Amino acid sequence: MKTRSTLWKTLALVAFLALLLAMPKIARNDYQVRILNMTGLYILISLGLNIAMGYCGQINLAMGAFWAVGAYTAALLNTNFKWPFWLTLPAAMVISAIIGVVVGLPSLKVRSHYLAIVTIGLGEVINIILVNEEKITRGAMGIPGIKRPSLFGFTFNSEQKYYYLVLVAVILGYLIARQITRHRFGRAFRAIRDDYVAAKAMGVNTGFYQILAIVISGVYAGVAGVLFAHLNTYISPDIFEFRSTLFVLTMTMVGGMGNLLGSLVGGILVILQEALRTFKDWQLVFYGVAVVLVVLFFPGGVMGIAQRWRERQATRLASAAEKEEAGNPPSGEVR
Amino acid sequence: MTKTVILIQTIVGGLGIGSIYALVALGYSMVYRSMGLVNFAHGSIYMIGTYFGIIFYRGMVAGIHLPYWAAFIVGVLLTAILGVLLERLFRPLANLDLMLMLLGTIGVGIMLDNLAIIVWGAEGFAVRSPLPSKPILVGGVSLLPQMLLVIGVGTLLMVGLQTFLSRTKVGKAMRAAAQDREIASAMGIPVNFTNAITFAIGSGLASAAGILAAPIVYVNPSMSAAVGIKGFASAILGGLGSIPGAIVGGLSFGVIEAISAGFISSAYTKGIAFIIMVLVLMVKPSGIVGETTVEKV
Amino acid sequence: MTRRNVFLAITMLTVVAVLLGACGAKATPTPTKPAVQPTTAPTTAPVQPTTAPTQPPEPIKIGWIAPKTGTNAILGEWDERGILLAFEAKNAQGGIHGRPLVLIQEDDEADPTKAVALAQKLITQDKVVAAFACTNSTTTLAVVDIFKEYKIPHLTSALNATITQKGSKYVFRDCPAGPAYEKSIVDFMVGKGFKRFAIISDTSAYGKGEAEYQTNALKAHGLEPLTVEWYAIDDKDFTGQLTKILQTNPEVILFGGSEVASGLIAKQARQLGFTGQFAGGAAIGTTKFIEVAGEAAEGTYYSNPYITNDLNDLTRDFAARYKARWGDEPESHGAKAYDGATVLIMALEAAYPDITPERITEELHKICGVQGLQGVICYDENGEGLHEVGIGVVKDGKLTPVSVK
Repeated sequence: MKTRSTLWKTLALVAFLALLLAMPKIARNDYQVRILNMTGLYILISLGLNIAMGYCGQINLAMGAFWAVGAYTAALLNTNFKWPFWLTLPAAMVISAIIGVVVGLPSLKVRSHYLAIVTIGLGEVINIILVNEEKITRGAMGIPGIKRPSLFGFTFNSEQKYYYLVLVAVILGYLIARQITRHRFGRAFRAIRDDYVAAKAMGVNTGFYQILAIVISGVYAGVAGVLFAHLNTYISPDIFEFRSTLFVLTMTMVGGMGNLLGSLVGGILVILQEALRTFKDWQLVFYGVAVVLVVLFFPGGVMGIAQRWRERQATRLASAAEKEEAGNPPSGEVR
Repeated sequence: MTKTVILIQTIVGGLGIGSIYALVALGYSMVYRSMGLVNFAHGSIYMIGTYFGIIFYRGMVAGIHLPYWAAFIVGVLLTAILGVLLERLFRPLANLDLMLMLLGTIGVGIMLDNLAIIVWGAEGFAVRSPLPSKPILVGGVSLLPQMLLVIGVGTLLMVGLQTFLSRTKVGKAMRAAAQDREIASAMGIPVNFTNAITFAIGSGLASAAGILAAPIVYVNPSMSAAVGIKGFASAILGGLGSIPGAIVGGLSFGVIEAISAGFISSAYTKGIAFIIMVLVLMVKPSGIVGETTVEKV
Repeated sequence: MTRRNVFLAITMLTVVAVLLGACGAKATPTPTKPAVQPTTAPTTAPVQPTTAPTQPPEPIKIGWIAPKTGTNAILGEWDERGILLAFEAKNAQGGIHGRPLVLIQEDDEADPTKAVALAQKLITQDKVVAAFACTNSTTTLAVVDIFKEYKIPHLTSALNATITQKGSKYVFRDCPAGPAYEKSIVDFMVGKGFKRFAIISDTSAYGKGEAEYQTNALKAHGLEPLTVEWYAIDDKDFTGQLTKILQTNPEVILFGGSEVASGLIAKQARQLGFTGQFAGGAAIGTTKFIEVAGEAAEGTYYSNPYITNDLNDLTRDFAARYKARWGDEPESHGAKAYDGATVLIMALEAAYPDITPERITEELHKICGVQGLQGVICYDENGEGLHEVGIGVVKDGKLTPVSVK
């Protein structure tokens, strides 16, 4: 029984990976691959947001700003000092982490709605700096001419080639996020989310973990920023406005907050958005309606639906209820 | 112009736009107080409310041309009715986690904004002021009649609201329901009714702000975003859930913006306003006049 | 079944959904479906060429990327009207040798990320042979490289000077560049004897660019702006900026930002007691600026290649047809787009029967001496076709020519 299940699992995983690898071939044109690449980047940001908000309960509505910080670090180092992608990436991670500490500090003092507007405000401030410090950032004109990355003479110079870079980043990002949330950090995060006072009483260094959660989310968005800068080759501040944060938030909620797979599933929203273009003027109205419906009827997102379905399965097969590992928390717990 | 005149002029300008923020912030705070709901669609209600009044003033509905004051009343009433309808939609959201609430109400906001684009077009229009556009000069400071109207009517509405809440039966019931739903409903106060009234008043105030500001600003569907965020920031700055807090928060936000534009750096206006807000919250996490936060969620 | 199996199954499903989404999207390029807007479809049946009697002639697909929603939606609307006016007229005459023109429209919400993806959509999915992209400076700056990469010609109506300096031979501007506007107005104002200028502009790529060109133009006369003040594009109250400007006691306030904000600033400046002169570039010579500024607009000088609807027979004819089609008076943005559409049609005619992006690009580069609404168009190797900008003044609430180039 056990071996069959493992076999099934391995086969499914292999098929799934094969499918992912074949995606650029299946897609009909560059535009569709572009959408897949953007989906990958949004998934990365969403993973970060999920760790901070879904696991640790720390509101971070400055994700767009972190995305910008990553992208600008990469763009500036690449265009001014000719740093290759492989150097801009770690540099941007460090800078995002530092900004993460700054944005994270207020979380020690303020909570919930207050923290929401504080992070929105700090995000705005970062954007305003990018617009106005023209000597460094070229302001609203943006930075053109960012180079595509290359590895051992192989340049990721098309959407299709870049897809594999994004794919690797997303898989690594997911696996790392899984490690983070499953082990020590994850336990501390969940303790803070579920009962802040109790966590503190139990001796959890709440302040440290709260800031850590925001730093991690910032680094994820920063990495997505680096990938975006080298993919798009041109960046400007208006790319990273608050609406991008809102989009990632929506995507994460639709997928399932508090469940890493939710971030992956949430990626459909990018594609859905493109599909809604058919409705022209009505596309955003329908988008709004869809969001409201999800919130009202599926507050746990897609993973919440899966959860409910699984629970029903579990009760039906009451005997098979011995679940060896308590991997992810039920997404109903988000609240 | 002497330095003092310039400073006063700048502050007056800030108070004008600040009154708008304050009226919008009141909507956020009232609804939060009574329902525990942070309504991020409030900026959109402000925009729709503006249209509801101005379309009659400009004769955009079946050629009906109302005088400004009548259009104002019609607009505020229509928006209040819209508020009652929206309350029905928002009621299930009020008991949700903050982020779901945020998302749900933002979803409604996106819907409203884009419906407005479909109905009234994205272009927008300028609105003629009903008052003379010649400013009144007081000791070198020029006061714009429409701006005085904004500040005057704004003050009147705020004082009226405070009186309504503390003196009338319905107002008292609303305050009681805001303090403790369970006890209030045990005492026979129809909580859903008081919530609907709260929502109506909050929406009406937003509409009033929009119609008052319309001749000074420009009316288009995207006017919702900036005022929505700044109104919320004002409510938070003053102390979310507090009526005087919303007023103080709104006026301060407007004045801070004007002063940073005039005296520090116009490019960084919004940034400075947000940084001051963050600093205030770090010192006093519940806002300038906010009571210590009662966790509603 | 373990919990993880279920997860995997769900993930698989997601990927299938992704796939379906991706494949479903490919259904769109068929020219009959949503790509064709009711307005773009030829109003009268194209004249059937005798050579192809059996099958209807294949339409020529032209892309269009501009904002249709958000603060900048008006730019998209003006642009669309100018282009459709030209396309519908051409289609009524039978299109390009019987092949009707179809405009495939995409809304970029003035978001550069969206604009880039949409450019790829139009190029690789809809297979357009040319495009209008875009109306905003930031979005255009973002798509120039894409069009260059795929070798598709595109016309832009954005003003930022650097757009044509990115080394792409596929970009063509359908109007003069920003510096030409600002140099004309500054030269004119300095020529009138003004010396004290203050600049107020927004922090978008457009506003930043115009303010810089104004500053440069002033410097060419040995002048410095007294102060340069900024605002965010959604600001409505400018008391702070204006009191600061008034302290420097300027003779002229130069506007670098958009129509609506500049109109509000003009109004508020007068209310704060400013009695000097207003002046500005492209955004100022519009009916929208006059609508917003009201009486305060009176006497404002502006620079524009399209000074007024009442300039010559060409502009009068355009204005009459525009009014008949859209019910509004046209203004310079519509004229820009119309000129762009006109030269594109000429290039298509010249490229016929070989309607390929490469040929169209070649023919666009050959365009020279064409009398457009904005003057004589002659493209150089960078894709700049118009360089002369005239001066107008707002008189009795109307755009009135002062000097025409």
